[in-house]
Amino acid sequence: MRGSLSDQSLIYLQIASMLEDDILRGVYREEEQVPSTNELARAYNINPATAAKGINLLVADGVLYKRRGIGMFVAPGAGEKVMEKRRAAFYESYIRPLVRESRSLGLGGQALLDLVSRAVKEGENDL
Amino acid sequence: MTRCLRYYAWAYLGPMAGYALLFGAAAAVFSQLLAVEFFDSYYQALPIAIMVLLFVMSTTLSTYNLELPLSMGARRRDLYAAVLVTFLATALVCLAVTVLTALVPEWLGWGVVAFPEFTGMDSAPRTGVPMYRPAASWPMAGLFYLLSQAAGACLGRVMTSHKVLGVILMVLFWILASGLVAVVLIVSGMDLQFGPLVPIFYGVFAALTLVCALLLRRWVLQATVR
Amino acid sequence: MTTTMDGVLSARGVCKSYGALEVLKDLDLDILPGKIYGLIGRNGAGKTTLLGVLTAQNTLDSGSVTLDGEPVWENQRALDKLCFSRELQASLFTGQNTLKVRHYLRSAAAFWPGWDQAYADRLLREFRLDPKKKICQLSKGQMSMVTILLALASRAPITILDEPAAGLDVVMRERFYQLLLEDYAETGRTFLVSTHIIEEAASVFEDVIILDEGKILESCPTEELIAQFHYISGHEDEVDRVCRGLQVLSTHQMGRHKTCAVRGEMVKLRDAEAADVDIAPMNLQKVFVALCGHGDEQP
Repeated sequence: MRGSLSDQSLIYLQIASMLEDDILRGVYREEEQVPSTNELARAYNINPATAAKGINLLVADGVLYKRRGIGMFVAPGAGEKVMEKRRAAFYESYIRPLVRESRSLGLGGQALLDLVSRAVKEGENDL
Repeated sequence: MTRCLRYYAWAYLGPMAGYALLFGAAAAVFSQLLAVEFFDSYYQALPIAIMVLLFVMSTTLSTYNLELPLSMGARRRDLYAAVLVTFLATALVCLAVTVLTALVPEWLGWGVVAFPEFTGMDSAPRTGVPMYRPAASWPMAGLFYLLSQAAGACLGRVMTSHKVLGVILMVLFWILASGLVAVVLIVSGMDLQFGPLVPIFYGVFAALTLVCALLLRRWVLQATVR
Repeated sequence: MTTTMDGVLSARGVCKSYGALEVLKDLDLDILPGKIYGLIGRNGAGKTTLLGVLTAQNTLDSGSVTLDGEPVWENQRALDKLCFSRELQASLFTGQNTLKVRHYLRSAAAFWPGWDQAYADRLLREFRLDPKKKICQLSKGQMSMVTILLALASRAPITILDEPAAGLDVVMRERFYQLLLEDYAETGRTFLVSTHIIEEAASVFEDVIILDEGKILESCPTEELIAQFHYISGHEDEVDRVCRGLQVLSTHQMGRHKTCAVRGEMVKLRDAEAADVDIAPMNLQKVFVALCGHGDEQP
């Protein structure tokens, strides 16, 4: 879990996002229990209802599920679900801003594609 | 209402009883150490000392001893009823102290003390032997103890809203109290017959007490904590 | 979380004036059970007056305040459920300059049916408060600690705190939020916290109530409110174009750089994203300033 929250986006979204990151990192594996709303509220000094909202978001997305009387658990296939969600959002959150930024820098479509190819190649070399 | 009574018991009655006992004990003890004449006058001033104590302390009943319980969820009508009961209880306790201070020295064989003739309003002539007149004196003293509290509580309220007027009244009161002490000392040495005036005195003081109590009721039922 | 048997505290059409000065104007408010509310407003907006009226400690000129449908005025059943822990000042009650902390707390124990003395003692020790001290001798921070102690130990179903963080240093403030959340997690009781220190406390409030000039400007979930506000900045022409159709609360201009604080639906924001402007979220404190600044604010 990351240390603290920023005021750059709504708290419950940050909570959901942090849990997703941890699931991708393997901090919480499938069928493992995640922190309860009260534990999250205590850790970040936030209202339990806000923490609950973040968790409910992940439940609605099928990333977490509830075992009555026990708590919230990572659903089977949660990792893939998070990936899918992020891939779907990837276009809106990364690609479009990238295109807008490049346009404002005066880079044409081809120049941008060249930059992207270069970055992909560098990435492959690093691996 | 019981909560309010319990509150007034430890916040007001307890300390008051303590002070009254202290005054009474001081009156009894000091009188033994000094001349009998001084004893007479000193002791005669005891009810007045108690009245002053009651008057000053009861101002809190319309200031913080009213606002504090109110800020903690007490109902105004419960507070008013409790205040009335407290007046009565306090008056009785102070009366008991006054009476005991008269009787205890006698029981201990220290000598008979003269209760203030002024408050006695007894129509029987003085025989020249100092003696106390319980039956006649005490109701009047009790009434005075009630009146002091009711008036004091009213003064407390006046002081919160009209500071200047309150101060004037307070000063007047101190003048009156000093004058009263002097009058008591003088009168107790004289052979005065009040006779038919006694019921009138009772009536007047009782009416004053009632007026103060009603004023207080009006103020308490509309009291707020800002 | 245990649920408590409290109901809804409602104010309807509440008007209150001090002489010619109208403090509360036809005010409506509902406090639902089991939430932590934040009450924010400028100095003189009428927060303490409102709280006094809600708890029947102050009179109202017209309107009504009810709990569970019954008027709170002189209603012991309702008053037993309400705790109004006031901001302590040396001059709090008339003529109490020498009131001791011990007296204050003992009175609280006498009047609130749910008073938890063990909890109060624990907090006294933690806050290192000397009960024998007089209230007027306490520092501002210590007075706040007494406010907090009283509110928490009262265990009242609906607990109101007036400026509990005033005078506390940042470490103690964090501790206060922790204590509040711990108590809330354990009891689920309703809290209404009136405070000046908005941003720190924002994450603790489930709902926020903004009081401005005697009226309730907003009463809704904190995150819902914040989500409606953004800063849009960039070239003035672009910004103006984007802001058409959005409610502009304030603008700040430096040369051709213009920043607008706007309120609008996410849908309209979509169009803004396509343009060459920066869009930034606003936190609760900035939202408050934008709404209640009345012309003397800056983004």
